[in-house]
Amino acid sequence: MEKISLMQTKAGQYVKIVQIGMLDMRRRFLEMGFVVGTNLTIIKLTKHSALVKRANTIFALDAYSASQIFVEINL
Amino acid sequence: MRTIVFVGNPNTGKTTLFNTLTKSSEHASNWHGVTVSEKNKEININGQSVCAVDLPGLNSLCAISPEEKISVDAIKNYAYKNDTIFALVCDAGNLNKNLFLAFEFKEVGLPFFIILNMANEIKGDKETLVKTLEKEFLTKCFLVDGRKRKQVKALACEICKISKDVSFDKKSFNFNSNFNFEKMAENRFKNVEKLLENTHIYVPKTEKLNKLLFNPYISIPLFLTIFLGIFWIVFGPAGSFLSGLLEKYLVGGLLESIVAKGYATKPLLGAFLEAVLITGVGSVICFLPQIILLFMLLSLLEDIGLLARFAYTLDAPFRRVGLSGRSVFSILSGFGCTTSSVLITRNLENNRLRVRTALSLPFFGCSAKVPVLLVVASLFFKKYKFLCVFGVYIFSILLCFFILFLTTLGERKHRQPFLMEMPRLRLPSLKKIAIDTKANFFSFFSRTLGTVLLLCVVMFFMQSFDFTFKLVETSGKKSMLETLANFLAPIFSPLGFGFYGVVVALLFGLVAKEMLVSSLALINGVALSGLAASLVSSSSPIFFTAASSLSFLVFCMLFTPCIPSLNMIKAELGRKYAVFCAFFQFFLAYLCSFFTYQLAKGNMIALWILVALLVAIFIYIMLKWRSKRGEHRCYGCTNKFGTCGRKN
Repeated sequence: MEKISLMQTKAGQYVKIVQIGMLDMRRRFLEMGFVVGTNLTIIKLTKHSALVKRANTIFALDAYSASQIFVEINL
Repeated sequence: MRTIVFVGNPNTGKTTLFNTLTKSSEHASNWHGVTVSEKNKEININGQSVCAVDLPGLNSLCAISPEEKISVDAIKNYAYKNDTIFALVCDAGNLNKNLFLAFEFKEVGLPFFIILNMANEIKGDKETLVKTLEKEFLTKCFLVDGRKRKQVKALACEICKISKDVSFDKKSFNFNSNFNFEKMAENRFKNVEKLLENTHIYVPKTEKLNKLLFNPYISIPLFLTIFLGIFWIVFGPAGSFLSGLLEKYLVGGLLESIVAKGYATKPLLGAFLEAVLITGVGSVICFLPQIILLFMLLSLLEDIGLLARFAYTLDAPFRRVGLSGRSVFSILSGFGCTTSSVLITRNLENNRLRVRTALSLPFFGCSAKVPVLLVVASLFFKKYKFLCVFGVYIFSILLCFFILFLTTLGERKHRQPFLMEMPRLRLPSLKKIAIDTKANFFSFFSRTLGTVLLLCVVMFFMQSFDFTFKLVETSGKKSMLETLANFLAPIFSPLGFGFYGVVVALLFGLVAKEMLVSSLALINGVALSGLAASLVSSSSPIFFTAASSLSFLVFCMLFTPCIPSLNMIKAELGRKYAVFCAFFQFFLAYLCSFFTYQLAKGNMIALWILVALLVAIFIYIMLKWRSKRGEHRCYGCTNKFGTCGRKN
């Protein structure tokens, strides 16, 4: 399975986090549940932001943070 | 005395539980980071005295933002006190995230119970869920709807009963177990997933509505329409009608009868009562319906969960001016009260962002400015009063963004990480809105009434007596107020309102903005009903022309925030920012007011100065942009989003 950045995915895809890159608030992301192995559903991607759903909860991320989260697409 | 400490993730309903249990009216809302300081209240449960404590939300025991630090410090403090029990509040519909903290509490060894709040919003096998959690955490777990007093009181009784058996082993707390946070976070979330695998709980979906609200082409016009609607209700016919009723029956009826009795006893007493009660306090009371409407509509907007959606949509444009989508929460509170909105900036993690957000708050006119804006706008723009006030608000907001944009040009690009959890969309609870509005009303009324009453007495005294403490009418000399204010009055002549009375109103307005309209009425010696007529008559001590009224509107909107707000800025950001804010707002208000008045009068020199100023700003922007184009991207940033702004 190919490892890509969250910003390279498409809306509606179901992905699994495989790596968290260098983030300014890495700890904040971890405690919000963005850890390796977490499944996410991509809701919406724009130039500036990403909207993802993790177990009933929707999270909004900025583009840079989203580009530092690497995922695999679950088919 | 037993202490129950409500802790948990942000937006899990801790403050709602606290309010329901203690009959308090602390601000609770449907977005993250509403509570930013510790609140406690003593209550009586079945004859037993209990102290309930509400802490700001936290995601883990390793604090990042200032309000989380307050929470963690308080938890560490309470943990070593006897008879303290932690009530870990979780949102029953968001357990995948909320139970992370429960595992942390278990690992640290803190005595706690789990409260599954908003249980009415989830569907499925709730009993299995409770049993699973009780088995895992070896503690009691309660399902509750935080808005129902009966349920919350029964819960508190149960907690008090059971907590007697809890042993307090002080040495067992292990707060420093976060050496490998990443590994631990992974393990905890795996545990949570395993735990919830067999519990069939689900939340009714609102995906279609969410999709609409996340679309910027729908959400931004919706946001603007909602705000235009709020302004129309508050400043338009509904607000005016309610205000008129209050003026007719309270000021015209009750207060005037008190003043008549005063005149019958002694003329000076009558004049004093008239000045203080009708002119001073009455002028503020008449605007209470409009202010209550504003509070009510803002509360409604918060309760639905729309604010977080707007914050997401506005994040991109806000980033261009150095703010973040999360600044929206402080900014919207700024329409209510600047002082409390400065406090809300605590939920921003980054200090630079906090400073920028806090310093931009005075541009978003607070509710205390509503009376003076309405009175002055109605002088010459009676039919378009609402549009005039709305225009002044929009001008102030645009000016704020323009200044923020200019300040970002000279700076290195700062990357602000943005991660926000979206609260669930909910139908607004009328009961909660009523409680919130009542609390806001009493807080506004008590704060305003005391200050306005005191200032009116001081003003009446200074206006009636000269420096030899003789009545102005008998001595024929100038009053203390007039003598003092006459020194400063010429400063305001280029703005079209160089009267001593305006200086007095602005000085008293510094203490409380509500005093602006009362001061105008006191100086002109009329009640609110006659204020508009006196402000356009050239025989009054203060009078406006169309140009000067517009200039005064702009000045009032941008003028230095009140002293409590400056104090709050000093406490939160430091003295230098408070001093900067005071002087910057004054000079900006002066400059904008000057150009408004001179241009409205048709002064061509002012027009050319303004054009030159705008050209200079344009050249500055172009120069900054040009120098920015020469910057190279950092070699370390390999992806297209990784512009760290570092020069090679």
